[in-house]
Amino acid sequence: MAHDSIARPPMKHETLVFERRFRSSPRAVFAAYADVEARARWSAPSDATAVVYSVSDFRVDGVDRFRCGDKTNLQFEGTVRYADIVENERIVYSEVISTTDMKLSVSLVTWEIVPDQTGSRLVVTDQIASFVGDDMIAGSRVGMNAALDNLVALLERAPVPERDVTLR
Amino acid sequence: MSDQPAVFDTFDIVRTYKASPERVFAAWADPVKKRRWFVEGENWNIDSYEVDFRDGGFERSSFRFKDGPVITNDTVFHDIVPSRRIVSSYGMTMAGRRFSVSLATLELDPSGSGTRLRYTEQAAFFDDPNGPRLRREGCAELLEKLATELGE
Repeated sequence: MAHDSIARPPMKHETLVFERRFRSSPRAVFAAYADVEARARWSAPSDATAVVYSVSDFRVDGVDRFRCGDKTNLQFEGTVRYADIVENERIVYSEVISTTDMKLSVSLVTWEIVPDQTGSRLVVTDQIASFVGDDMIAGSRVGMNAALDNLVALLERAPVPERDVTLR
Repeated sequence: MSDQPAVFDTFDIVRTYKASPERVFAAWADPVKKRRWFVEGENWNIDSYEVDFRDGGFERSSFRFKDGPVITNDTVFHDIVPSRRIVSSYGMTMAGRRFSVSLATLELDPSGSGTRLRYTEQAAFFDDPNGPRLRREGCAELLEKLATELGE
């Protein structure tokens, strides 16, 4: 346990907002999140990286655990806890990202999906607290932008089958 | 069905206490102490209060103002550095309806023989347009109650 204040920089807080439009319905966008196999595919920012879930429990108070990073290394660990889910409309979760040595960030992430004339609009708001300064915030911005671009491309190509998600 | 977009707000409150970081931390970490200043209050009825204060642990409370609707607070602790830092997230409901989820960072630093406390909250409010103002006021009040708990 680190008591040394020299080795403990102040936390950095930031709000990152991402917006995307889809030709798909809110149901299809929601399904692409709820389906953990689809999520693992679109959330890897590039072909050289991967996201591998060991646990996914998509319901309020449920927990996901995953490793992510370079395909050959998967140097990061993530823990997601769902705080609120409104089917086809809203997903709110906290996400802790660490390495084996240290925590890097904690985020509160809110997905809002609203229908519009041509399909749906998605706003993702990432309220992030970084333990390691600005680099983790910049990395989160790059990672989420890449993931959402993948999601747009995935839904343009082949929508994830919509299926009923059982919510508690 | 929620019709309104979420409202997001970030604020921080900085204040100093005469007590050492160790004593200020204990007021957050010890459930008996924390209940006194954080949960109890005149006209508040406490239905339950459970704490498991550790990384990945939780704090859950259920309470009512007089005979009002049931309000709950579900907290998860994400990072604890004794006498220095607590990072948690918490969600609140009223009458079973989720109205906010927040990420809360508490940082304690020595300041002379006392403590400089910085509390940062990153909050999302759902169908609750007055949420940001009320939350800021509520947190400032709680940090004043913490001063009383510390005998200041």
